[in-house]
Amino acid sequence: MLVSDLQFAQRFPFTASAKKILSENNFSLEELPEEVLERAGAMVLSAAKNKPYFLKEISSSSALLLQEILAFPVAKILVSLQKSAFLNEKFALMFSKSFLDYIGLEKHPQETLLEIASQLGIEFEVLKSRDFFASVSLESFLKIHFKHPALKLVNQSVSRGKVFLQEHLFFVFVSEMVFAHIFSSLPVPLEGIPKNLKDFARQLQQQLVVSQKKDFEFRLSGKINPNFFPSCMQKMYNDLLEGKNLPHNARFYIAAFLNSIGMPSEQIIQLFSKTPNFSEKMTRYQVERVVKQGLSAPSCSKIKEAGLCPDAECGNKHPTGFYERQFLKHKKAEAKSIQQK
Amino acid sequence: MQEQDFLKKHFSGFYKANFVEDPPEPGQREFGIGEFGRKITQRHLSFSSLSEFNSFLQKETPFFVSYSTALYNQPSARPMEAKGFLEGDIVYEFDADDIKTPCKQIHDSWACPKCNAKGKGAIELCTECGTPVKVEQWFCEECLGEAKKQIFELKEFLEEDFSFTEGISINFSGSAGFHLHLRGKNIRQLPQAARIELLDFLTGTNLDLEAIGFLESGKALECPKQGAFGWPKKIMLGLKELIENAPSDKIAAIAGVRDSNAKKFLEKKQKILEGFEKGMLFPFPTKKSREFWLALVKFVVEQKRLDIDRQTSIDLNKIIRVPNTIHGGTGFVAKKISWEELKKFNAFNDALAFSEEGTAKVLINKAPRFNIGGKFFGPFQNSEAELPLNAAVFLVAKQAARLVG
Repeated sequence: MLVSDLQFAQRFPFTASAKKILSENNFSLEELPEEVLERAGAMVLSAAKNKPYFLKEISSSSALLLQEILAFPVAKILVSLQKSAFLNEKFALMFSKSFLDYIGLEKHPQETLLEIASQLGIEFEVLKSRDFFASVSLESFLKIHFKHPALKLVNQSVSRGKVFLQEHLFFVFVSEMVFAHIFSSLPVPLEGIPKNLKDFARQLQQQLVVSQKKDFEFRLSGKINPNFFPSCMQKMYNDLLEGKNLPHNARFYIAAFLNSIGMPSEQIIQLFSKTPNFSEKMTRYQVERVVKQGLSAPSCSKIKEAGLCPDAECGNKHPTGFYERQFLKHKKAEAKSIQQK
Repeated sequence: MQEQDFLKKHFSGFYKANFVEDPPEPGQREFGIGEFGRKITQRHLSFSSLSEFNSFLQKETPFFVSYSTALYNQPSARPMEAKGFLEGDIVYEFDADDIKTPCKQIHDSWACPKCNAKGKGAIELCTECGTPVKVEQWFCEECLGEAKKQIFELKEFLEEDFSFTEGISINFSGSAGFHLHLRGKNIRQLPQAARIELLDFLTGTNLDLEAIGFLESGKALECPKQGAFGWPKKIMLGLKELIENAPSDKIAAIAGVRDSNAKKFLEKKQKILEGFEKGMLFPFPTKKSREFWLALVKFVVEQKRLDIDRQTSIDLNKIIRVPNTIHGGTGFVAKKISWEELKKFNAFNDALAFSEEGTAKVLINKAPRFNIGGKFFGPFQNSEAELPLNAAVFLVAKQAARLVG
């Protein structure tokens, strides 16, 4: 096996090439070298702390490179054993960021980019014209999570089911695909995971608890589910989606609520963009103030006082508490159904 | 009560004579029904087949029938999560009530519940005291024509931009609008985030002019060059059309500049158009060149963006009227129509559930002049009239009239 192939797989462990190398080398989870566990653990901890993960510079040792490549699927198992959607997201994000860094180290970054795009199953066509580097099928383009504002579909050159991208945007797009690819593969199936890995995951969890003690999992799960909103917030949220005008206090309450359950400020601002008298500058100022001060939603009694409670019999005290309960209930039900399956 | 029995009797007769062949895959859909004056009073219903659904319509005859755009494993299960979402159609809804048309000044009226002020047209807040007003809305061929125009514009977006050509079905909403259903295989699997992206594209929401190529380069202003697609192309075509065809006073009004300045500017039409091809916006000869072009661009965007009901198209749990069923607030059929039929479609002729045979005597509270089946009626205000069945059903369903005797 060529060292260059191993180096590619080390830098981009989420690719089909990396997977192939591992399947050809018959690793056993029961007998993992200590170094692999250590590297996998380091990956998980870096992700949890929003830090980049640095690769070991290995230039010739195939054995050491193989260990590095193996650390990735092991890290995915360790992440999955933590049962945290939040950590899954952070883990995927770390690799989508490092993808952009490592591609810069390649001798032929463009070729590597295209190779990775193919391996990720992106339907694209290289154009290298004056205006566009490549076109991507709309179907492929819509698979990404649109975290990067420059990738909003409305701002793309779209024609006949294809999205035409300039080179820098194609790079960003592929990095978003890396995120989507890893995120959607988590959690991995956990049946038959050997005890040594479970024990290691438990030790890791203790370290993670320390670093994450200030976070509520529901708060930053990255997936806001409006079905879990209490009826007051659901109404305000739907009114915003419909572009209706909301009273000043309702605007503040919904922004604070969405902030407290972890919706990014850009998304909150976007939500207001359909309102009749939308001013981006003003909305940004107000939303950023809410975020900066960490303001949370008002209590139910305040919402009632303001005449914004549509269901006096919902019996709750705080909208955020309601959301948290619904979220956890759903998560438990989900875990149960996975177990049953 | 008398009115509800009257409508129910006729609606049931309609369902006995007309088998409703929608929606597709009925066994995996959730259904909802509504009573007189309330569109949804019960949800989570399910039918194993169209035959079962049609017998229900004939026997129970609800005033409104809706179905889920989503397909579920167990459509009647509760709560929503227990249904087991499989995939979902996308529905784009155009409502003439949301489109500003001059005819609203003729057929709509408002009344303030606080200060009792009244007026013509559809407004949100009272002009006297600022309180939210109660609006009485009607619709006519003109406003439906506007909604129809938007459906055709949507067709262009779907074909030219997205290349979505399969699994499209259109129907009249039964009241003031149209629904377009997308049921293509690739579309049904799209997650909510992707649906929002499509909707934002269609409505021009979050359009970033800088990102699409309208940039300041020193003192000059750049624009997208020829060869661009999507919104950059739409905007450039719109600007070209304005410069080529619009009179100077129109341009002056859009940009808020003097007509004399706009006239002088348009004398250089050829140079302006050549500038477009080179990706440059020819400077407007005042210091406000940037504002001038920005106003024109915003005008074009406003013209080209679609007024689609936002929630209908992105809510994965939405239920929407079943095509070819009766809208209980008008007595019209939510008629399914082909693109070809849509061109000539006139709801006041083509969506009638009942003929003009038979009459009913009604006391009409208030109604503007309206057309049913090619005949004009009204305007009415506290007057009694014997009307053909189709016109009487329309007024009673709209709660603008009561039966007499």
